[in-house]
Amino acid sequence: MPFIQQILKSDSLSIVGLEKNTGKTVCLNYVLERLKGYKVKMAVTSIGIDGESRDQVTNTQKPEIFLSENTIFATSEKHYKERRLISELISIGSEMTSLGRIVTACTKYEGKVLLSGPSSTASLSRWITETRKTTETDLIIVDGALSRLSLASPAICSSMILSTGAALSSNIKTLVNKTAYVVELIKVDITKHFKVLTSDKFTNGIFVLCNNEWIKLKTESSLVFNGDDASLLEDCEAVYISGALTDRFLNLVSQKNGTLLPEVIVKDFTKIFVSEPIFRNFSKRGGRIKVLSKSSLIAVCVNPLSPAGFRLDSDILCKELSDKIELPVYDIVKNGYEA
Amino acid sequence: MVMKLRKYIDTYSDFRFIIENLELESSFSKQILLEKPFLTNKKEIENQYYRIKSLLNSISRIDFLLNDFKREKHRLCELRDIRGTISRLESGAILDDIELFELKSLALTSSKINTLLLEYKLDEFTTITIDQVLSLLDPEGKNIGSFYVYDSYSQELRELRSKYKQNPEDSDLLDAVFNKESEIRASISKEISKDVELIKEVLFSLAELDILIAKTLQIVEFKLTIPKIEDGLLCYQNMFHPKVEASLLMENKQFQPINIKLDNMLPVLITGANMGGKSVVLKTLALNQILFQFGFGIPAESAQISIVESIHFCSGDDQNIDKGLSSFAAEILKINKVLEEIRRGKRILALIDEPARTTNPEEGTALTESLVDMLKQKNVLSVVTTHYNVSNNKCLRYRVKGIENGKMNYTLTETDTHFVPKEAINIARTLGVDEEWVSKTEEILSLKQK
Repeated sequence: MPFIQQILKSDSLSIVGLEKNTGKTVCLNYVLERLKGYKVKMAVTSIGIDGESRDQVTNTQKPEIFLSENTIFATSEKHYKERRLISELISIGSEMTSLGRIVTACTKYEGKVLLSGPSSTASLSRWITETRKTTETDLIIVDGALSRLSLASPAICSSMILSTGAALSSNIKTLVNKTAYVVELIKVDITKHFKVLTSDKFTNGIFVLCNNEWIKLKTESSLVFNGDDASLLEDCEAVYISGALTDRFLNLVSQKNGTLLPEVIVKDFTKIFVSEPIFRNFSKRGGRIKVLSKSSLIAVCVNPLSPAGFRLDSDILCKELSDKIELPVYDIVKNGYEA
Repeated sequence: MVMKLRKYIDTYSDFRFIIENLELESSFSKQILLEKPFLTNKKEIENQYYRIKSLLNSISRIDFLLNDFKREKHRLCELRDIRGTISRLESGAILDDIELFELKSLALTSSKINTLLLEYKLDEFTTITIDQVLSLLDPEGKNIGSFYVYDSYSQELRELRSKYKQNPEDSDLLDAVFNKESEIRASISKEISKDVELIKEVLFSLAELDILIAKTLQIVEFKLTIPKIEDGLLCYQNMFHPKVEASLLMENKQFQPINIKLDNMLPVLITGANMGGKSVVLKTLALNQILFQFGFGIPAESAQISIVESIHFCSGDDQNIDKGLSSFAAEILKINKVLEEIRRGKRILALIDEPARTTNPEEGTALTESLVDMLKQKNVLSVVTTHYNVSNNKCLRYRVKGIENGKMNYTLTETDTHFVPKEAINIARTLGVDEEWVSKTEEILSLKQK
């Protein structure tokens, strides 16, 4: 059976879908089903509520997750009240989300539940710490929507499974390239400055490293960067952006430096909003993007069926993607892997 | 209209600093605290300080265990605002698992806190308990916070569930389980609703306990004092402003404590050099008065404080561009409010920082002099600072000692001369401003004297 052994080695796993209908839930249910036999105590949650409202707009039902007996899960008050599951309530969080507070419970009998957990990276990380402390959990699984709207980043989990599929593109080549680019971003290395940059001083803003000293720029975000501090960017060794890294900002960094491009550091790969050509151009000129935290990508799962109704050739898709990203790629539904 | 504590947080006094440094465990307690009224009743203030004093005494008895106690009071953080659940209970609603969980958690917290208090021999601070609610929600006696409709509530439920376990696909069976669960929740809710008044009392008394403990520990941590309540008198020995002290400490400087005494017989007039801390005196007096009337420890070595009905702080810094008022107009109107209150016979504390400083010195002096005159009223405690030569005898005069041997001495001394110290040029020079400006100023002054 593929990649389950690798999951067992890690203490937290996120399952991330590149687009809706790429089979993320199928993948999550598959992992949960396979892990059943291993006596691993699991805690499951999902991030982001944006997915929820979108579901209400398109009026499609968010798929339920099947949990086996004695599994910890976190969901919103609203969804807890609607559960069709017999479970014991363990704790109620204090943060409010649009669906109420986040409650943590343990299943008494197996059953289905809708997951809608913490909506920011900070609260997700608090939930993980708290859950580890109060329950004897071996593995945390986060259902992570890689939506640009979600404030929570799945990158705080130590390992990751990516799901992609025909919903992202109907053309195998485009699909492979788009997915490969995200995989490349996920694999971006951790910076050697990460110890310094994870201190509280660097929570918000843009910082540059000049002569072994980190200087904070007046501009708070690369979105509103207007070139006021451009001279500081001119000859710095590294730039750290706590927020989003945009095309415009990366262009600015590459323009200002004639020969030696600085290392550009972001929190994690979800903060890189740079389009592929600009990323390539930056890399080609010797520029490097680094992160503060990363997950190790265990596998990529594909769903060849698009919501519009057509189906890509699963074997070709798996092979082409696998060749390109040098990682195993699985079509879980088609192959119905068994333990 | 009674003023609530939240109205005082962002005033000139920096009361926010005290509130932010109050180590409340529960955010619900903070909500309750913010709604506390400005106390003007002697009995109520006395009662507040009586409770703090006796907790303080008991705590000093457990001195070496204080850190353990601080850590263990953390159990109060489980205290949540469940007023919504309580009012649903009152209205006879059937509570869901989340609400029952909240009630169980309250019952458990109250029981744990009482155990803690008894452990530390703080018996007199224990609150009532709702053990009957707890045993109803913890039928298996596990003494943990989690909750669901336990099998042990009903034999029928137990059987339904075990049948469902055999046939997890049978959704009718699951519905039967859910129906049975609802029945049980209804009967539990009904049973608990009998105790709703007790539940309310437990909720609020735990919040009060959290506030009491936090206030008391703050007294220990900030070296505050419990004041004596006096009539028509303010007297502070070595008073200090915790926020100013903390920021001075950051620069490796020390706060020079202030001794000051005033009564409602004479207004107090403080003169002294710039940067001499006159405004800090007013700020500290304002803070202490607020702390006193909300029953907090007072930053001083000892304090005697009189109850007032309102506190007025007027400073020339106020501008009200929205209303199109200049700083002078805004200030004069604010001082006028003070005079209105005096005419109504209210007991007030008036703290007025350099009145009329933004206008010409001749009229400014006259305005200040007449103001000091009008502040001499039996219900009024007042402190005015000024740079003007106010030749009014009907006031008590203090002077900031000022620069001695190149260093600022902030000590307040009583004085009888109405001539204000002239240290502006000295101070300008120590600040290192343009030398030509300073020497030209000196030239002009010496010409005038001739």
